[in-house]
Amino acid sequence: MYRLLVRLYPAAHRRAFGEQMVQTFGDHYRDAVEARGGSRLRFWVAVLADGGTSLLTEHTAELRALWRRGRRQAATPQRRRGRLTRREGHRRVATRRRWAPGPGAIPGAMTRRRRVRLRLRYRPSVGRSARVLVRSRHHQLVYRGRIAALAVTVALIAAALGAGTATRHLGMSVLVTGLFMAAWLGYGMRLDRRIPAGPHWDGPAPPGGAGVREPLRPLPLSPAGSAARPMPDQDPPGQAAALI
Amino acid sequence: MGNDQGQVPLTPAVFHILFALASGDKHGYEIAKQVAEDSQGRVRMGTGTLYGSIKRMLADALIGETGQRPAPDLDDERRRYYRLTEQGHRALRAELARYARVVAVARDRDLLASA
Repeated sequence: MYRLLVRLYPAAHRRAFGEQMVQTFGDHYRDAVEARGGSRLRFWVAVLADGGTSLLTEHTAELRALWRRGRRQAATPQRRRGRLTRREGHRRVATRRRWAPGPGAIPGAMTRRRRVRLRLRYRPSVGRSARVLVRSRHHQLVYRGRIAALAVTVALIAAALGAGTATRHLGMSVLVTGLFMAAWLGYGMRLDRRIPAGPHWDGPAPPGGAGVREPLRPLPLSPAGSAARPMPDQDPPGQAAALI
Repeated sequence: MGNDQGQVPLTPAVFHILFALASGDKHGYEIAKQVAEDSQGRVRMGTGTLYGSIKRMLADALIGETGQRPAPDLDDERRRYYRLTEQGHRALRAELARYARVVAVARDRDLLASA
């Protein structure tokens, strides 16, 4: 269960600390619930509340880093000081509207339209991620949720747990949390079939591997094929012999 | 983040982790237990918060991973042990000095007597 929660963290964080987090969680669970006989419900509420806030923090930090990286890559030469000056005799003259075509423009400088297009292109594509959670022989469970939906769900869960703790209706808040989780999983989870492209359902994949299919060819006598054949009186010079 | 004064005040989680590591190298769960013990059970650090803070502290060079490990019969190879760096020591000392100044001012104003 906690491994599933860990899979929701950003990939870099998961790679660096995922195993340690699972191990620490195991130690904590054994210590708090099994050794001291604490309440499982209370333990899981604390874990989910902590997981929700830290998920939100880590994803926000990741988004911020991605955004900053994207901005840095999209930074146009116009923004870098000292580089966009032009020589006029022995002087360097900074142009005011360097992107605008005309007498003040620097040869090779980006136009404003291109700059805007670049900025959009480097916008981090963090909207949608697809992760295979469980894989069997014929099926795989894929999470294709959006980060925004995850953030909204985490916020709703945190609000439900916070309200439940404040009003001492923990059972109800856990129920509501479960509903939020179910709605989120239903929105983001997809069960995909893994069908090999071989001739038989259970058979081995053909040479080239599963998923590699031959392109469709037109039938020999299809209308497309007959229309594509050149008429004898339209032969291009030098190619008539090829039809004989 | 090279300036220690720039790191003060520290967030509560960072302060408690630095404080816990000041008594020796520890792995993640030991840090969490030490934090609970130091705060008399008032601060319970969850796993997500703990490793999020550790990540940022590693990036800020306040702590580092240590290669020294306990005896093999007491050790788990998957664990990673953390230690305070010199910069972490300085940040902890600066934060404690800040707390001491606040306490001194509170004492001057007789704010601690009523507590």
